[in-house]
Amino acid sequence: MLQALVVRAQAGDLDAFSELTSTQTDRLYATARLILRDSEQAADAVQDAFLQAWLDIRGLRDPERFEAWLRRLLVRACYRAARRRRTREVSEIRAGAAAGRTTPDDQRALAVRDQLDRGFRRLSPEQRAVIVLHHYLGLSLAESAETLGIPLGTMQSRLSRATQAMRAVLEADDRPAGLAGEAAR
Amino acid sequence: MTTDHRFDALLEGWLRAEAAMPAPPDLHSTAMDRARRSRSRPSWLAAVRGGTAGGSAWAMNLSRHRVAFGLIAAVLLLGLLGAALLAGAFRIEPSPLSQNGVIAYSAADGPQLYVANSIWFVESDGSAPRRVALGTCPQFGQHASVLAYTSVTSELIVDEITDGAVAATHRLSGLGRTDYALSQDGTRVAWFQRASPSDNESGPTELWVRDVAGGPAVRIMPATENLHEIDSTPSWSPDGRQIAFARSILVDDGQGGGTAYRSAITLIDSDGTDVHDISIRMGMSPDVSWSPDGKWLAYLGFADGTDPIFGQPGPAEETIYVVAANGTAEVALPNTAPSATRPRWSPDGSRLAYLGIGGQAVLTIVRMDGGRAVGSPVAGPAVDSFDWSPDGTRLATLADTVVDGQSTGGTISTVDADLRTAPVTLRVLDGPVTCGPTWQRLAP
Repeated sequence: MLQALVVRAQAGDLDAFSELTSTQTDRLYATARLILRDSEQAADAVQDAFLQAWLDIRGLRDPERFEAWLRRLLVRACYRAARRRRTREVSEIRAGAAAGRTTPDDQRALAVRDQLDRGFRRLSPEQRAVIVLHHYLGLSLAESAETLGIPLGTMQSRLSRATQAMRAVLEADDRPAGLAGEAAR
Repeated sequence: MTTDHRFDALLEGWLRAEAAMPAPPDLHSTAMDRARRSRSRPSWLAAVRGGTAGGSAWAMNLSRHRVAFGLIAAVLLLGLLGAALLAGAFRIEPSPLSQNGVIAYSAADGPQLYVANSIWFVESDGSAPRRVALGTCPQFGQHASVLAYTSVTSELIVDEITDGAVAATHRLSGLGRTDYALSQDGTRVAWFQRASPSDNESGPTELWVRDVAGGPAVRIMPATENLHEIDSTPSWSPDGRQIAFARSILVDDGQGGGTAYRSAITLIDSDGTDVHDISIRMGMSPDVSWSPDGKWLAYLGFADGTDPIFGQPGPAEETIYVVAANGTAEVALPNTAPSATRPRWSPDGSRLAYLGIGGQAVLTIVRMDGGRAVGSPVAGPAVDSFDWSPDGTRLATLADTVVDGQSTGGTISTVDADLRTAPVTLRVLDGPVTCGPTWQRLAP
């Protein structure tokens, strides 16, 4: 099915290409939002990736690898968007939790979420991409490395460094003693 | 590399919550409109047409020249390629393996060849680089009899090598692109897979084994009922009788009713019997390396102390640990960097190499006497991956060239095991290097 759609798209069938990509949109958008931490930039990156895929789909040698190939185009689009953004840093502030009474457990969960959010924002887009591919999309180290176009060893060391950097950021955060300790429960 | 399953579980939960927002409803349709307007023109033609959009005569002439030049260049290129093919320069050889210690890696051949990585061999002095197959992530068996790699169709290919030539080729499908483990004699593979293949985000895993030469896959360890258990990265003992892996499981944290992820290095006999933990810590790396005599295992673990994130007793500093295969005599190796990864024993067991992780990944080597370090670790060049030579006197390394987050090339080198002399560059590659190096073991 997927292979047939790719072959049709390679022959210039935009409807086939649309069908191929329609099921990918939410996941690609989520991936881009996590890497870029910005909804508008993420939407632009997804559009860029789709357009690039349409223009280059004839160069795709193995139709079964379409999704992996599209992921790679998306990550590249995110890197380009991040470079553009460096001149006008945008900080997206999400709405907080639903209004209403919160329990101590809710507060603890919010505190942990806030810590993770701040730590994640301070990573570079390249470091975020490593974490998102492996921990959000669930790709193996080899798949992640291939998506990013880096050697497996680089992927391993980069993931280790990204995790270490996030830990360091979290450690450096001022937080009420004992609060975060409850988070693992 | 995952280094702390408790932290990973929190991170993954947070990522999923953050990603829950759906895409804007018009995102896909807008993208398709843009695609429709682009009229699916080839990129080189799009560039030419883009140049004429302004309508100037200069641009028109330039465009015509570009087209003419492009056509002439294409004809010349085709001619050269044809001549090269006739001369055999780009022919994919049927794995002309030498007996002694070639170095293998996989690389993409150009910007569009992401889907067509090639396996390359180069002699250990840098001579005779040659492309031997299409595929990625070559891995030599520890006893020189096999070369395994992943094909372009995601099959695991295992070539049996006899007298320097491929004697038989086995194709194993169904492993997907999982991180499999090849037994050290190259006859079996082991891998974890989810109990429910449709669920790629969570759930317990099963351990499977199959013979390379054929026969059915055998599940040697069923999934546990604990949905929070994470098992990963199997590693065969040298004699093939046991498999080590990292198991993480939610346990009582001893702090008054809470839970925490606690990890173990676990051994299982290759027939699925006698599953037991040999080391338990709050968090540890799944990357386990057996000593050549099978008596010791090296892994990345967290020192006991205060958890930097949660302020509770738990994992603190990371370092390389060595533990006897019977679970005794566990020691931490001295630290030279804030973190480390990829411990690998030398073939004679006299040294342990790993990547020290600080601002960069640095090849680090420590001399070993059984399970104990002798002296301090020595830090060497910044590299991204490495493998020992068959005789343990040198290591092959890959230093990746990264520009704007993308690999643009790499340098394959060798360096002496004492890290006393400068690395010897074997190859400087323009395209992305996707895996390696792996150094062929000498025939037993």
